[in-house]
Amino acid sequence: MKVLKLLLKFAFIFVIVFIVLSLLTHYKVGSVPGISFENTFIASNDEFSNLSDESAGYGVKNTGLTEQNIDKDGFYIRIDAIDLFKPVVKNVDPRYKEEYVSSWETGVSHGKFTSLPDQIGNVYFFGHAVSNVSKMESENAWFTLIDELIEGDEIIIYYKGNKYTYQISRIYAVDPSATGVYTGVSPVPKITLQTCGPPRGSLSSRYMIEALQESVIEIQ
Amino acid sequence: MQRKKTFQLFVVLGLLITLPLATAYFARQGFELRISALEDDTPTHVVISDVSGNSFRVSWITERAVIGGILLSSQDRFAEDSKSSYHSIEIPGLKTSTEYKFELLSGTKEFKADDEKQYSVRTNGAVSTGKSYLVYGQVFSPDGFSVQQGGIITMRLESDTLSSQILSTTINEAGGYQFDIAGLLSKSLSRNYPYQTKVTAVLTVYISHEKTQVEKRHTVDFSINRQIPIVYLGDVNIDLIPAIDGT
Repeated sequence: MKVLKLLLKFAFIFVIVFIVLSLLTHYKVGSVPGISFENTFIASNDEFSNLSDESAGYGVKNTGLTEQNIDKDGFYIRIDAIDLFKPVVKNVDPRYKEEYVSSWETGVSHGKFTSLPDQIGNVYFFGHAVSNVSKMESENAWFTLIDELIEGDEIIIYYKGNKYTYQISRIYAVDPSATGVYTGVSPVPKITLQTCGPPRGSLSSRYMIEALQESVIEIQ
Repeated sequence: MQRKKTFQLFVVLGLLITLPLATAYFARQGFELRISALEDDTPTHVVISDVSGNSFRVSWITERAVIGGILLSSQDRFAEDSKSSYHSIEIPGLKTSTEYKFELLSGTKEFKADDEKQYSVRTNGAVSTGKSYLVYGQVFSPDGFSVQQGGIITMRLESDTLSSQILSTTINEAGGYQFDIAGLLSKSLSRNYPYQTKVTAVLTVYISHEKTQVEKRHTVDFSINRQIPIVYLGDVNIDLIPAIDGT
């Protein structure tokens, strides 16, 4: 009987303390927003192989795309200065030529392991360029004319119901081995476009365009 | 008497056992033990900035994460979408050369300036062109190696002869921040500030409602580089990549 009474007293104290602490936590209001860094890592080979492939094809070559007729939840790139409006194939692996060449049949490639437009970080797009502009369509060389862009030009990305507008802030060329442009992180939302050249279509260097995010609005 | 002593003994023992257990339980659940009444929604480090012909911006910090907003004397409200301790709101669509009075909304309360008067700002005479010229940078926390997650940062540009108006914004979770300097004006708001040349960027960072600000200066030339050198809040200043003369 005595033991039972003692146990009851223990249980009573435990319940009281539990209730007091619960009440205290009830008044907790908000906290500093959570941190998400999946967009700004430099992946190791192991991490590369562990990531899932979310490549999303659109199935058609697009001509005549407009803001009104695109899939609102899709992924598209639009550059009015060179009359480009193409679907983007998400998470294309830059290590596999067959994979990225076939993605160009659909549109422009979004580099696997790089950020997405709704994240802070560098969103990397790459596409083919050819020296003979007349073969641009037949060879799916959608980035042939990006060397005509200048600082200040706008690039629009549509992604998951939002319209992201970027302004070109830097144009430069790198050696093909300078992979830091692909894996590099960015503390602000940024996109990078890359193609072969200069000169246009040449494999001896890579043409790079960086653009910073100006605005984000919901597609109506 | 003996019975009372035994009871007291068990109360003490019970507390000794249950308190650490309960604390460990709550810690594991990720709860923070904070008491609402001790926290404050009062805006601190209020900065009125980015004044143009048709807009201005207000940035501030609160101890508690709350929805922030601005209430113009015309009763127009501009509120944030989510709770945060770091607030920065732009008020667009204003008239040129007009004085605007406003109060800050923080949580469920309205706050006036320190002197109990409404905050006040006067727009300048010219509307910006709408074009942007974006520059950006990153802030590292006082430990020197991790990014500063959140905060308020202000920037003004200085040359020998001229100082610019103040711009402000929040620091994101990657330590990044971005300013649009296309329509940057002089301190007096009377003329455009020539930013595409070598100037000094004076950056002031506020990371807590109670701590004082940290000010850093960097020489920048935005005509050749849009990235501002990293701001280290601690005593870590790496101005140059190490090298020795090899000739």
